[in-house]
Amino acid sequence: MVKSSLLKKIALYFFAAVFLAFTTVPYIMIVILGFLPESDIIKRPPIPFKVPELTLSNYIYILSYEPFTKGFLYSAITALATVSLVLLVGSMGAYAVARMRFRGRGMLFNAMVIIYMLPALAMLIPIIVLLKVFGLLDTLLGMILAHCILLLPMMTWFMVGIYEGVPADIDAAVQIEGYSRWEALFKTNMPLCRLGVFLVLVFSFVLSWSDLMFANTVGVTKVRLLQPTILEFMGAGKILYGQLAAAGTLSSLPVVVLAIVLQKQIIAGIMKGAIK
Amino acid sequence: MLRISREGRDALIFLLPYFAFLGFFIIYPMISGFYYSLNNVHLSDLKFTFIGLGNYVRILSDKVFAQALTQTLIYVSLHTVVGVPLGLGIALLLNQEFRGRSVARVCLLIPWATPPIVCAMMFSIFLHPYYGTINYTMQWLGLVPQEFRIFSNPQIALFGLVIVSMWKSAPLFAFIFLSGLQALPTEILESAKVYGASSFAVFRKIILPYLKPTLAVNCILSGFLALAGTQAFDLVIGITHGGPGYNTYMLYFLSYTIAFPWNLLGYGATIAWVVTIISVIFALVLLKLWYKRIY
Repeated sequence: MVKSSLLKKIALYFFAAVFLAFTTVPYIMIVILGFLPESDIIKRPPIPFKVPELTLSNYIYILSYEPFTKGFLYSAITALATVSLVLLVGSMGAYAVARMRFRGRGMLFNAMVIIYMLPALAMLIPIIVLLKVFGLLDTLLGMILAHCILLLPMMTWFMVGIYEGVPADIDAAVQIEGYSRWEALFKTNMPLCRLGVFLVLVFSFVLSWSDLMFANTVGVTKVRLLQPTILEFMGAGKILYGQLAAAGTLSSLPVVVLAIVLQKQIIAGIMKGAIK
Repeated sequence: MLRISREGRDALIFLLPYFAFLGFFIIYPMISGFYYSLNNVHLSDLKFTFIGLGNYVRILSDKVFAQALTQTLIYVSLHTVVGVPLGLGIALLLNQEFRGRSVARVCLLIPWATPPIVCAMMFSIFLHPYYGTINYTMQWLGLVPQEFRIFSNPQIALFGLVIVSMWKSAPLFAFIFLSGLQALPTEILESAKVYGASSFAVFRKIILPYLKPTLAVNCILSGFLALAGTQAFDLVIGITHGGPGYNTYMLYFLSYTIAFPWNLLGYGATIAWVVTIISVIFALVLLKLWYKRIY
């Protein structure tokens, strides 16, 4: 009896270790690679089969490389603006569907799922033309609108589920007390489901930050976001792995740090099934 | 006379920005996308030449399209068949009591938060035939031949992409499974243990039935991610760029390549429409099969 439970424990820790290696080692390795001189990276054997010397030169180069810093700034602006827009427009729509009774509500409810499941590819080509016609191609506004295509249908659908979680009585009560629908949404419903709304914010930020397809087609020269800049790095004639690793580390840093700092809320939110 | 209630009017006001965005940026592009597919269009001058169903006829005899379709289907099935059970395994592991469990849960967030293009970069370095740590380790252990090339070998490049995508997708599935596992009735598990049920029996007879709705959600998600999501596109464009030859072309990437570098918007839109139709059918079937049972 004791023996089998010990075996079980060993197996448990073994699999936990395998799992930890699976998720973290590739990421940690890329961080380390950014600190290695290029000559060490392209010499066999690779790390960790040898002890290399460390250097900061890759990071110094990347941080003074203008397309990278500009891309970082543009990506941050785009992500923040997209998240705010999605939160505002999505919350209003979702609240109406979750709380108000009107004709066609059931149909809209179903349509929202289908719309959220449409591939972004379906809109890509006409959107590029539309933005070009309105002179919005290669502008920040065009980029933000394109990212809203990616996020608004999905996040509105998520928020319907989130606002439905607030008891309808509370909503009715605050309106009897004299709150308008706007106040009911922004002062009562939103704070009540802050965990879910917060999760939507984090998801939106991560998705907008990570997007490559729209970023690569909408921003051709002037508004070049971070991810297409990384892609360009990878496609360059002679790839410099150290600089590439440094750029990759820095470009994933905001989202990874965000995820780790806010892990408690994110995990609690997912565990409660705030997002399906 | 159409009479709108007060509540209906309020709802309309709240929904107006959403509808406006939907109309302009989703419905209108969808429909005009269909019109594009009936024309030859170039981005430079936006001159439309109407060719009717010419693009659709062209698809039928397009060998690259057929290849991309097959590869997409292989990718979608492998992504689901490998990823969902892997996610379930991780979730069952992280549901056990052990020291450092909370740290392990945080680690689930790292792949999820890493941008796909960084993930593509990471694995194209680590699987590099000469300098890649993972590849070198496998060679060192004698699992693969020297200078083992994954992404330039036509037979295995696609499977290489599936493996890379697992790093990003499996933790996500695990998260959703973990939330499903919270709903497990602990009393039943306890009594099963008291009566001496084996772990496997507990898993098959209690855990799995309870996880069925979660399993469904994960399958929807997996299919959606692999077919309609941009992750596969990012991995292809970042790691193989469709190569070697056309061996890792997938529909998403094919449509993009035809529309942008090759400047054939009409033909690109045709393929985009095919992808849309396949994913809508796929979504509807899954929704019908599963959402009914969940809600």
